[in-house]
Amino acid sequence: MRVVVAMSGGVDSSVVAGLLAEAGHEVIGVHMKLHDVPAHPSSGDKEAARGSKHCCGLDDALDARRVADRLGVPFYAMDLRAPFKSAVMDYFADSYLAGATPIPCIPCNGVLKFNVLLKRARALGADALATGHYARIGPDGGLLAARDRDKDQSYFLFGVGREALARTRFPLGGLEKAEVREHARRLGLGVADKPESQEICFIPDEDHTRFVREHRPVQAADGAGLIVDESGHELGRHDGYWRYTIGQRRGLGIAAGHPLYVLSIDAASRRVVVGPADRLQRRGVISTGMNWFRAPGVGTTLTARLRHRGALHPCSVEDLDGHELHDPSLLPAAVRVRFDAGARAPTPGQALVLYDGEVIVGGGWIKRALP
Amino acid sequence: MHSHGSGGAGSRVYLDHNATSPLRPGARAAIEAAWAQAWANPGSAHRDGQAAASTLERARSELAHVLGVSSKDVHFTSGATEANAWVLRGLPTPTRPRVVCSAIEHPSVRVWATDLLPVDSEGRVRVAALEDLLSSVSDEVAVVSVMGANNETGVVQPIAEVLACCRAAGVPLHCDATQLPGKLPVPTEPDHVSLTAHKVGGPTGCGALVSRHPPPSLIEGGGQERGARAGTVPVPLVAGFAAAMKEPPMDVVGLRDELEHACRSLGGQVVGAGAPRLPNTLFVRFDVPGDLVVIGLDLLGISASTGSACSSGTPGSSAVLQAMGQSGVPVRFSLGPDTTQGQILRASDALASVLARAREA
Repeated sequence: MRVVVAMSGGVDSSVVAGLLAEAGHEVIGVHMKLHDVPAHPSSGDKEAARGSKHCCGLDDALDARRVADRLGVPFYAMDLRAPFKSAVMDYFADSYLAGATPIPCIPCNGVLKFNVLLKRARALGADALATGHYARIGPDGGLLAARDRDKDQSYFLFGVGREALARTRFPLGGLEKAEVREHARRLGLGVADKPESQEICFIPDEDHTRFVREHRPVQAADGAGLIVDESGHELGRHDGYWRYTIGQRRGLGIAAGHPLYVLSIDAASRRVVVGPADRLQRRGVISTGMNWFRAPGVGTTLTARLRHRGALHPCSVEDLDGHELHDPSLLPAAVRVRFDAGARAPTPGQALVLYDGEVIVGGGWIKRALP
Repeated sequence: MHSHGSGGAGSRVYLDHNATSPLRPGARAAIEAAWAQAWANPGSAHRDGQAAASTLERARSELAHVLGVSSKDVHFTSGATEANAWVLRGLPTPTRPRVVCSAIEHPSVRVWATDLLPVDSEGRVRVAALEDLLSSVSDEVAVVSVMGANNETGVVQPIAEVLACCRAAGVPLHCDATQLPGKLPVPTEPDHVSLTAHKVGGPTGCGALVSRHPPPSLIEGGGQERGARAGTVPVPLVAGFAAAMKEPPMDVVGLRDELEHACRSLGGQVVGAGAPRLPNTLFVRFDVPGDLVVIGLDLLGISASTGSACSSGTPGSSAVLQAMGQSGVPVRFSLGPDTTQGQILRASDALASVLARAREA
């Protein structure tokens, strides 16, 4: 089959290209140019030394090209800066400005990779798009967690529809990371020992507030307000509600007898509500924009994940009228999820992904936490 | 990379001559002869050096003869980018700081501009805008720079009118003539003309500034080029450049028109179709993004491009198209002297299948 491989230049996608080429498929390597943020924001500091980690740096594009040359497969860079800006960078800043905490990898997957790039792959006559994600596609066409649970990325993929998954291959879903590095060595790809990329590729200095300030200067300048307790008493002032995230303790600048944490953020009133740690414990959430792979039917043991690599919380789910969800044809876009034993700091803007064992039942966006 | 001129079904079809045109046989022969006999430093006093100097000066006079200029006005450079920088960086002074260029110039010109001249919807520079500007601030303008023909659209610029305008205002004109050799006559009336070898079937890494009074040297530290430009001249490259310039111009307008007809029948809109264009160039927009078309064509053995090549190999939106008030990512086909009818047919067929598949998806 003809398959387009999204090649970042890292070890994972390089091995995907290598394994597919080895299996005799017609591989076309594609590197997505997503933004102009330099991988070396300021020379001479620790960032410079880590520059090649970033997914979109020139070094990575050159690594990807070297791997493609080594495999003897065609390779192209695609300029996808415009869709990345609107779907990921704008979303990222606007999400903070709405008082939420964004996860840019999710729209990068849902829009850039499994919509824009997938369509482009189809336009080039490819039967499938393959990526280096650690996740699996089940026999029923649904999404499964990766075999390597430490590397599992299914949380970031909840929004990819079944139609897109039908055109997708995740060749690493059944492999351990160590095996992937071994394949890289065996295939002589020269990237076997590259470090993991973890942080946000378009914010290499990890300074989110600087990014929001520069990306949306007018809105960001208009964010100052009060820090209050749960009864609304003023405890202090802040110079931008969008700088905070739920569960944050440091940087509040308030002296109190006990540790204070951010409990909620109200963008409209610019208020940041703080309180003691035990008030972060929540019984459930309202989640919207649900993408369902199957009905959370009777007999399933549902667990919910609230953040990447976060714990799986046993839970139950119902629609907003309190009805259980059994009819696979009538699954709602918004649900109420109750955690059997509560969960710490569910954060608006993060994803809520429902699992039945290794099967992804569905996922959506945390809209608000229930008391 | 490509099988030049063979035209067989299994070989590649190269239609990106505006980026780089492969070495023409005469250029290759001249280069090989020079590596064998004129390899020495042309500044050396011994016979080996004299042989190199004689090849160098022969190349200079051949180039001058082709252009119809005096050979002492030909100054060899590393390419057109250096020639552009030499003029546009060298001429401005504190009292005459302005560099006026068209909005569609190559980045190596635009980077020096203080004022950009608009173009019309066909991509021709608006001479009236230049007149207006020069009528108000001509004493602040160090140089006007307008290209001979645009590298993306192929649209030929009204150099004679621009020159008249500059003469009337007493301002020198620079012309980046990179795309003209081998296609159309190179105007020699402008005060400074930039050329490069690799667009005309000469080698990469060499070009020339044709100028009676070049500005102070950009690269100093040697007496080469009669003190105008330091650095040992690469004699074999220069010999290849002159040999390529001596070749007859390409006769491909009929083939270009055939490809243009095929593109139109596939729904393509030709950019700049209402203006005089280079005989080898076709810039055409489809309902499929040009970068995808280029990849699809490449997989079928056809080399085309989306416009000017970029260092990362990633196509951006075209500044030339934006200056014309248009958007999109067109495809550029640029033919060469050995392009055959069979190649044009293969390219048309490949284009049809690429577009059909993309439209299905």
